[in-house]
Amino acid sequence: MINDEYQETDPQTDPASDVYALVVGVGGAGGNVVNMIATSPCRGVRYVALDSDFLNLKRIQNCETIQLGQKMLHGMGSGSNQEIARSVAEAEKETLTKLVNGCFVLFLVTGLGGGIGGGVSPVLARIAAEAGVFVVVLTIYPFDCEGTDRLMNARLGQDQILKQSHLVISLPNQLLTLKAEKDANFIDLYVKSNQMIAHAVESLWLNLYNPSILPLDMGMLRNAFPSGGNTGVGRMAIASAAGDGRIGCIWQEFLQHPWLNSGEILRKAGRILAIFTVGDDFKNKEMDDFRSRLNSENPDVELLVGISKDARFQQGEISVVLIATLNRTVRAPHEKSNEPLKTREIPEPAEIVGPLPERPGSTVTPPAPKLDPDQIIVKKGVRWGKLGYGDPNQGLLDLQVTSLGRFDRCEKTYFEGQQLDVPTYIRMKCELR
Amino acid sequence: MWSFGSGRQYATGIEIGTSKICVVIAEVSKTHPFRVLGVGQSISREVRKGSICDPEQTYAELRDAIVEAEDNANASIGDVCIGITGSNIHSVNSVSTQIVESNGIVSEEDVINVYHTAEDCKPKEVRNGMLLHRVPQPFILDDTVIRGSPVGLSGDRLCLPMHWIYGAHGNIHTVFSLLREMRLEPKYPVFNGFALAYFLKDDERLKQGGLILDMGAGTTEYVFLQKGVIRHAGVLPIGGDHVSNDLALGLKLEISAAENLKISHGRAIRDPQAANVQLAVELRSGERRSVRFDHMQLIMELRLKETFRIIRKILQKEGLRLSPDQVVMICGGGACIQMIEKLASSVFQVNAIPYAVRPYGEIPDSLKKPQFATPLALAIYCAGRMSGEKKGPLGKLRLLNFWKSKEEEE
Repeated sequence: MINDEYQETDPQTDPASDVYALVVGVGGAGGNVVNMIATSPCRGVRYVALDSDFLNLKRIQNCETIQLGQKMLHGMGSGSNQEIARSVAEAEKETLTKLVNGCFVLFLVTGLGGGIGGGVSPVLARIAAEAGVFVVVLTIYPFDCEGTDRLMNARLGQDQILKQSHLVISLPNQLLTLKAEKDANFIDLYVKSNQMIAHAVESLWLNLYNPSILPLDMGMLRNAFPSGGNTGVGRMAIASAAGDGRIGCIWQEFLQHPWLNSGEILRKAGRILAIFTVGDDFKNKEMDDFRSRLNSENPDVELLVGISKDARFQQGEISVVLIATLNRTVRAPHEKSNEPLKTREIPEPAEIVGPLPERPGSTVTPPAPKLDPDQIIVKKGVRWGKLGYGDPNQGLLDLQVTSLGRFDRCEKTYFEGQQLDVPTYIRMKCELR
Repeated sequence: MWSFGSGRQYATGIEIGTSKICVVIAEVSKTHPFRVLGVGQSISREVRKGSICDPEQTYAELRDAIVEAEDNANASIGDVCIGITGSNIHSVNSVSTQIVESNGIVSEEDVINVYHTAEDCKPKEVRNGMLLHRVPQPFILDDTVIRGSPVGLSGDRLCLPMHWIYGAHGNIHTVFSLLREMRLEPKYPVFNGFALAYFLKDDERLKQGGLILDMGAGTTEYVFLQKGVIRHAGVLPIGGDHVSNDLALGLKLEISAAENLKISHGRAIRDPQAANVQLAVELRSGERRSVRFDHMQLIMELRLKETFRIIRKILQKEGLRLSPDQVVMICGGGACIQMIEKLASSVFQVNAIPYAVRPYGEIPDSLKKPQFATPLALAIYCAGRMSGEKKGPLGKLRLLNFWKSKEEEE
């Protein structure tokens, strides 16, 4: 259901619309953030808040709003139930498809403690990714004091989002309290968090959209962050400084940043995206300085850099947005916990069960030819349907036999525990599809 | 230049590589300081990662290469410079210290003493293995690095860091015994990377130092130079064979077909336009297969990038880092891979330059290819050593002259 203020436009046919990026806030937290970001809108960006709660949407004044599940939820929230929220999103699939149609990048800001954020976001991300949109999801983790149920909701929701999007950036609010002043109140922390998200979205979009000194390319981003959560959950930090030694100041700020676990994430990151917003006086030497500092902390990291000029920046001012992603096998530190993770199955609603899970692609041999539609039906019926045994979500064991080819009978070469005679692409689990 | 007698002498460099055995014979005389007379080659079938697996087979191949070279040069060789490589080659650093006598001013005697101390206190690994080279590093006088001779400077403690390159007795003696069976004396055994550094250190582009990478079929030798001094050297037993093997396994091809594919279409950095492009490959049986071009490039890029990263890590562990004015120079067969310099540049974060032979005597164009960098360097090293012996044995005067000449150059 779209409210009265929302004028539906087709960006591909309506030249006046000129929309290339879509910033969508899902749920209460996401809506608040987007409402704040939209106070200083960027050209080419459309801001939308999605929620099922009528009262939440009423508070949002600066951007378009879309109410979901009016018939099912009658203007109320999902009661922190992600299954219900997901069913609602599937029912509103047409609305969501229209929403993402024609844009290049989708910035999805979602709070994960409740139901709408964790339930609707994976569906919207999937629809957008299927439409060829580059999906960046900023997930806001709840404070610890909000309870373990909400924290568990957040973890389950994030796992679902990770499978459907290109880049997921986790923003744990709790970590902000570590560096905050003792008497800082909730509102201050929320405002600070929202400002950082707004700045990050703006910087990334400006670099992609405006002519830049060193532009980021959509193709490059797609290569670096493929769909399906291969890059794992990322973290983000923003720092700005002015004057002499500004890169040093920025670097120190990153090393102490709570969202980067005081620099720990930088040292473990597999890939880092750094977006510089600078004035006229930015020097190449400073870029080298930044790179050398990063290399000294983490020599193996892959650095992607975008530099854009902003006329609003005064002389000597510079701002850096840094997004660090870990490898898939390495879990983000905040996810490491001594207490065992409670497992709670989320039964998929019948109407949204997708295709059968595919066996991971072989790293040695090319994939088998696709089955005919008839064969798929037979396979479905026997394997999962009629007999009903087996869990379609069950993981499959990696039972590939790795040959060393001509080095089978040679003295083996090891480096840091890895057998270098095994092809690199196999050790890196790179699939040849 | 070197001083030679009136008679003709022949400097011979022999490289027993994983893919080929190459012999270079050059004439060294007053009229021709270095003139290549003949080159002989044969395919090496029983060498893996630089180590000889089947001495009998290698003996036959080596004999063929020597005969061919002698025929081409119309000369008979005697003393040879043999290149040593393989996973058995290692290097280690040591530091010897000498308390400065005579009123705190470093004397020539102090310098000789610290050198002898270094000789006496070889690391344990070097004593157990076979020493190939000792490379004196710049002196350190009271924690200050001294470029040139420290004689005449004041200080309390004089240190001489030494870099030792050594190999396993067994592997090196296998090579020696092959040559001795042919009545040739392996007079100048030299680590391949050392010979390359000897040849290339005077290159204008390597004036500030840099990293020399010799990417062969079985091994990658690396030498880190700083202002003409070898700071670190070693062998990584990863080479072009690994790339071919990866391709063969990943694309389901025979090794020979994968090798041909690598040579004809190999590329170190993926080309975005290669997606969905199919390459036709002919197998030995005559069957034609098609393989994905982007898969091939992906496999190659991952392997080559990993090789460079490992070398970078090894250097970092030694506390060595390339500065922006230094360069990476790639030699060997790996230098022929497209975009290899760009990949090296992105990994090491410095300029990577192609191998080029600086003007040096008479060298035929066919030997100026990067694949022949090592045998050529071995022949040049041999000529240098032959010349050096004319000056007399390595004694204390020679050592002092070495540092004095360094000082004069600076």
